[in-house]
Amino acid sequence: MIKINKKERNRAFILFIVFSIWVLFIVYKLVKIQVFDYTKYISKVKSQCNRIFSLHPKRGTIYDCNGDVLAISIKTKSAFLSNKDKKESMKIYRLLSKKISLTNGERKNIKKRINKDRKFIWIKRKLEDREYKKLKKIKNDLSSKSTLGFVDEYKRIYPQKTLAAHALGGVGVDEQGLCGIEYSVDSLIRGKGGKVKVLIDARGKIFEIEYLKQPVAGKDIFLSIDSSVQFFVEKELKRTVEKFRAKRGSVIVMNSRDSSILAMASYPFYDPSRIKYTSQRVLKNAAVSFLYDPGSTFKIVLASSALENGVCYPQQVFNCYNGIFHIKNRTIYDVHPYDKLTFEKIIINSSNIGAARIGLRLGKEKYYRTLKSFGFGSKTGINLPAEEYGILNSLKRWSNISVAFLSFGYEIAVTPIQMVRAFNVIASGGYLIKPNILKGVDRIVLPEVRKVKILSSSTRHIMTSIMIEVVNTGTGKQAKIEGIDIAGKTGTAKKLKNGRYEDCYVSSFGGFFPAQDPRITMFIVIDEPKGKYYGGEVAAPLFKRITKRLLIYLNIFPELDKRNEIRI
Amino acid sequence: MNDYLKYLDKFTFIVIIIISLSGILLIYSVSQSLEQSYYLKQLLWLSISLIAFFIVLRIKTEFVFRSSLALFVILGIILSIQLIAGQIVSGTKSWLKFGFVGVQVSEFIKIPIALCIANILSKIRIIDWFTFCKLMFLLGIPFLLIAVQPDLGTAFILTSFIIISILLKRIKLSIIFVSIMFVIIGSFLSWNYILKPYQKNRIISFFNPEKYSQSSGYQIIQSKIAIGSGGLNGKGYLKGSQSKYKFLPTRHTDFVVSVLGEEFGFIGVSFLFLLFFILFYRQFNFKSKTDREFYFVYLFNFFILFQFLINVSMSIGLFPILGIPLPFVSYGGSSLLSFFIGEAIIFKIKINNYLEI
Repeated sequence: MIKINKKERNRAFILFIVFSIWVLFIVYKLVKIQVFDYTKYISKVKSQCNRIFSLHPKRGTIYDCNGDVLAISIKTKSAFLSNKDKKESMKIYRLLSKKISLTNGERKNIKKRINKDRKFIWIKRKLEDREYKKLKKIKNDLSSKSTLGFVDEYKRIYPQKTLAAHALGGVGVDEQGLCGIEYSVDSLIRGKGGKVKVLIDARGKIFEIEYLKQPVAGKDIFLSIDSSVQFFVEKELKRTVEKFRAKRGSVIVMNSRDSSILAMASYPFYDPSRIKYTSQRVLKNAAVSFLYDPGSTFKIVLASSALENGVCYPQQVFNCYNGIFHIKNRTIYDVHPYDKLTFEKIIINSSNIGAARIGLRLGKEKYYRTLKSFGFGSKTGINLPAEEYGILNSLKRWSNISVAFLSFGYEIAVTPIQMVRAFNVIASGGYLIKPNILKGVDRIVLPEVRKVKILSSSTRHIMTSIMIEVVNTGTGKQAKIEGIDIAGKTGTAKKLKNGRYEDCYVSSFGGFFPAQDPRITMFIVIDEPKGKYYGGEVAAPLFKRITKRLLIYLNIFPELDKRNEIRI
Repeated sequence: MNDYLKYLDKFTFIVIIIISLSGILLIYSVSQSLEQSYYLKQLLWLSISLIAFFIVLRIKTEFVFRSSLALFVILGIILSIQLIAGQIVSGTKSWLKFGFVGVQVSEFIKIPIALCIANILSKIRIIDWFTFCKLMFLLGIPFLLIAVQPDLGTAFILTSFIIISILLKRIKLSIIFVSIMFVIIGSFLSWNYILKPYQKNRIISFFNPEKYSQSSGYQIIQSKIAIGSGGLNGKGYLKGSQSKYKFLPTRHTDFVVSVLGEEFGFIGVSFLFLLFFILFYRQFNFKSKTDREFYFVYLFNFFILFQFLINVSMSIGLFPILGIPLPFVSYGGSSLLSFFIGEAIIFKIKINNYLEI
């Protein structure tokens, strides 16, 4: 009945074997793919559909001492392209680029990324409100809406523009502190970033969002800066620097009692929100990083040391050699020659020869000890980045005549913040107090800084009365204000350039008031003023103008207002 | 009729139903990311196929074999008309519209071809030149008609009939030599003059898919990623990210096995292999009463096996991408219906064995 011969069956059997080998191949391949290479393919799946994005936390707000906002982060939109089609992306980019402001570099970069077929391309981060509205309109008109996307990002806003720029510093595009207080308290203010996993499909469309870590907002920061004081300090500083066509200028206004900074200004100013476009030179905070030979303002340190060590008394008379004093192979000059001067008058009239004579009497060991106790050659430790140490040679490196030059502020380099601290030793009643700018973190008021007494009350009293005379009758007359005692000291120093002292000067003035019960200590440095260059002529008038405003603003001497001397 | 049902190989029948239903399960899974609810359509097609199955079961085998040539001619004419009409109205080449459902005529022609070849082979002892020409005519006409559509996948799979025939029946050696020559010359010509660039790219990219990962190699890479990431157990039903997130192309038709591999892993694929193994074991392993029945059973079953293996090989990178569906599983009503009709004939042959012994 069955006619199929055996041969056909055998042939079919061969076919079965062929197919079986084929099946074996498939099984082998399946085992290889699914079992042995499993991890490889799993990671491929992840790499093509998982995108991990970091979420920026809200950066803490920076307030001044009155609770006014100095820096705040607000939510903005950032625009990006997400598309696989190069031509389409380029078309949309061309459409967008007319609507928003971009630098040439940014444009080039975007085009490069589009041509490289990148899946995710930032168009512009932190859009202006009007830019976002324009782009949103474009997005609504697009056929493939997922191509253009927006994400929320925080943008740092400095509502008072350039105010206190150097103290505040600034942040980068990812809200990271780059300089100023933004940098030094970055870890507190930054908060903790979150992470989000986004699943995208083959067309780049977002499918699912999974929060891996919720962001934690940063802490708020309270500064001792007073915006109002800062405002008029900056205004007056600008006036002076521009008037004398100086290279830069810096003013530090400090609360005499606790060394907290009320205002810290360095000219030229900048806008912290445009930090990207600001040069390093301008970004530098001169108040803490400008190194210079202090000149005559340093005589208050010398005088304090001489009095504290008991080697001099105020009425002691020194020979001032009529303006020319030879010491070893060097010569010291006075601007105004004097035959003989008392200790007091040496400071009041700012005689370099007199100061050198005091220094020589004091001796280098004692003087060096005072310099160290005043903290020269080391950072003040104020909570600001890029502070300079200053240069104070160790005693071993002092020559026999070093003490003479150090007496009137040469052979040493200081920063304005070190000088204001030194002036505040006398103002605060003999205490060395670390300057501070940070008052509180998230409603927690920071404890007051430690004080170290380094001058006796008698020294401090004598110094104060000498410094009052400096303003009343001496080199600092232009800082005098009728009706209130101001203690101060002028300084005019030749600048060391390429190892030589040239005809460039740094004018400075430091002081405090009311002299009997000081509330404010201030230090001013004007770098390379043109025309006039004496501290008494450049820095002292600026000191006076700021002081006048402070006296009224802080209600120390409100009657001044009635005299109508102020033009605001 | 009762007799038919009594002797129907119910076990094998259920296996086929399980395979078809598992296909619908997979199509449902990928339907989430597709615009249409293909699984409902496929369910409808399965019902139609079952009705057709039982209708064919009632037709006498003798009649089926006798009318095979007529059927072949009719389908051939329809294909030709379609082709000519397609020149006029573009885009309607391969589909015959009956109301809301479209029928792909090319899928059905394999049945009369298998029947006719079985008829021919049963009457000869050895394939001589005359028989070979008849075979070539039987296959060549539909091959060309379908290839021009262009549906190279379906056309290509038809050539399996000639290979199976040659392997089943003794053949003159001279024919083999000459046809090998023709194949070499033919592939040279088609490579240079007939194949479209995208078709050539598919073949090139088969050998080096990574290099073409964004273009022609994309499909094979994504398919391998899908299967590989399924691992041993799979990601779970409806959880295949490759298909859900649209990375996998034609996931409801040609790459349905990749979806299976992704969601059910190696175990899932093995289960499908087991089901097919049972199917083939039961459908091959019986004694036919006549030669032509034997040839039909072997031709048609080998055809399914061939298509099954090509499809799976394609999905794992063992074979260039051709648009070939997985029998019974892939979405496609015509494909499903044609396989059910073919199977019905085999079932009928098996029933006849029981009835007439």
